[in-house]
Amino acid sequence: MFKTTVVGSYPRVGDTPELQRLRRAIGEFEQGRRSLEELRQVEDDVTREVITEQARAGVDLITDGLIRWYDPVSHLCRHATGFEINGLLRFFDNNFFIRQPVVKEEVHWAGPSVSEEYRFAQAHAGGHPVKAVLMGPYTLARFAKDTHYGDFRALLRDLTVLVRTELVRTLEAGAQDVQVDEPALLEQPGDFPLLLAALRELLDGVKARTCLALYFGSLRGIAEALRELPVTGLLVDVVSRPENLEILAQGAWPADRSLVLGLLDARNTKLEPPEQVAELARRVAGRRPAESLWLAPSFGLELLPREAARRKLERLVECAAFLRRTQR
Amino acid sequence: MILPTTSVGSFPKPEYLTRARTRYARREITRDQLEALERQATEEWIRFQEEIGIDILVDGEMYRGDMCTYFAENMRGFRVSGLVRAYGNRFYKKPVAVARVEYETPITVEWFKFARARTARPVKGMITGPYTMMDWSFNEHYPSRRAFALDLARALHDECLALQEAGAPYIQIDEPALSTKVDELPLAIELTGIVTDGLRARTIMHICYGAFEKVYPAMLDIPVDQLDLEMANSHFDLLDLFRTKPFTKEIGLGVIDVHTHEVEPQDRIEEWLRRTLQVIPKERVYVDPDCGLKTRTVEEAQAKLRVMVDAVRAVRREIGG
Ligand SMILES: [Zn+2]
Repeated sequence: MFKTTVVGSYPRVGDTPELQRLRRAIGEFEQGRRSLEELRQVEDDVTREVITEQARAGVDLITDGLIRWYDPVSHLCRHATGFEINGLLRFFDNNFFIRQPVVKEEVHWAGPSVSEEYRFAQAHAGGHPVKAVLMGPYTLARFAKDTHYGDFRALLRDLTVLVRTELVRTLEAGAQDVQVDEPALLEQPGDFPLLLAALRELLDGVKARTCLALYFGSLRGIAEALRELPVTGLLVDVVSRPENLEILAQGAWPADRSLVLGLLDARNTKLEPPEQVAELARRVAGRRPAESLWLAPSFGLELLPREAARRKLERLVECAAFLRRTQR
Repeated sequence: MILPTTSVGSFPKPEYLTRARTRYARREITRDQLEALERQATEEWIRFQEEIGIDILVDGEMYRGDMCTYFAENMRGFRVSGLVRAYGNRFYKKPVAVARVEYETPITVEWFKFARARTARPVKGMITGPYTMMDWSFNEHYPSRRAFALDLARALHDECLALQEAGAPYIQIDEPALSTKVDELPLAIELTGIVTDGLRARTIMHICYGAFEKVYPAMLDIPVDQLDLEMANSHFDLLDLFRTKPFTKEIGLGVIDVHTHEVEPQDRIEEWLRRTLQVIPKERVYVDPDCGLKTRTVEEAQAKLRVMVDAVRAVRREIGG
């Protein structure tokens, strides 16, 4: 019980010159001093490095660190038509910014992204399980600036088709674990029915393990409806909103589906004592089959410095070990 | 004078200073050499503001890197983190609270005095507020956000006293993080009360990227004389909000979008000023850009400031101010 996973991103740059080679490569590429191919090689190299770093820390289910993503929102849009990628927009309440996709015409999938990234990661993980991460259509629609459809539902529908195209390719590439992030839902809980419809379409016929990731916001307002979600797992940030832990402790998520508790603060360098993490995890654990519970940080680790992210992963694994050891 | 003009704080660093900062980071030049260039750039900006006729001057923040880290480096209780990504290929270092945060020594006062000695016009004192410092730092010491922020507020109150002592007639508190977590507005109000407690100087709070509709009119309870707001980048939609419930403080009216390369047409700014004066009495309106101009080029920033001053002059003539 208490296996460990991550939410997605990992710091792509560290504090030594060696760990800043991707930053330099991007700068040099932008100045025309490096070819795209050379840049891709550095991305490959750093991706292998963060895969190894996560595996070495002992995390059970890892990602490729989303090293190739410009940001969580514009990544898929950069591999589609119909968008213009525009100015900076704050990503929720973080001091971290994304580029806003502006919808100029009908949006269509235009080329592989996550599927190829997954293929690469899986090939370099040495047999370690890797999960693929996709930003979900609802959150993409919320962050996009629509100048074409004039109708949120119509935009959401086309974005769902777009994300599904990439998701299907990712499954064809062999992914057995797929995570879909929909953090924007927690800001508009009234849109739950819209999200539900989009997810049903997105995941129709999918046999792989699917996990919906919700972070930064509160489950209040959708707690009763969670069980309707057509996914085999749910990942919840219980750090940003402590009430989420109570909501889950009261059985909001069915015990026969997997639950990933985002219990280690991905937005703070402080390392939580395992005793404290264990105590919180047990509030939810009591009512569930042991194998359905996972531990994770509350969000992707790229809001931390590289060194702090590595320590956070090690602490995550220690917390899981502590829980197993002290199991009652 | 009506519609006094001012700036939010930062101006773009001239190229020689950007280069010098890189060289200083690589230890190719000394701290003294860097500071000499920071003084040169500050003087240039003071002269520019005087020349185009700005009424309340700022030092331009030539000496600051990140707005939180600069203050943290000059307080007790912090270390500086490794690099984290801000967006794209941009990275910065964040403060980390590792012990009790305390005021040690004046942080911005020497720069304030330097600027003041070079102009006869009023100069604003400017600090990063406790809420933003707390929200944008890592915290390895305090048990809660509130406990951390309270110590920051007390430390920054001492900085305000020192600025006031040095002759600052206006003190501005920058709280860009405040509008990102609206449910913590009561905490921000409490913190501001500590920072501004007993000050004789006029106090201003600069807030940006606002979901203001969620915090209005509650934000009028922030204990400062003036709220400085981004108005231009939402095309003055906020005026509608101020019609529903009157804006009871002075307003710092952002009329320049700091995220665009385009220099605003003068008649657009004039029109915004006229519309504002229908909603807020003219005695309470100060005019400035939406936010710091540091992300623009020197030329863009100067052109934008010029057109702002020209627009204000035209409107003053109309209303006889
Ligand atoms: Zn601002």
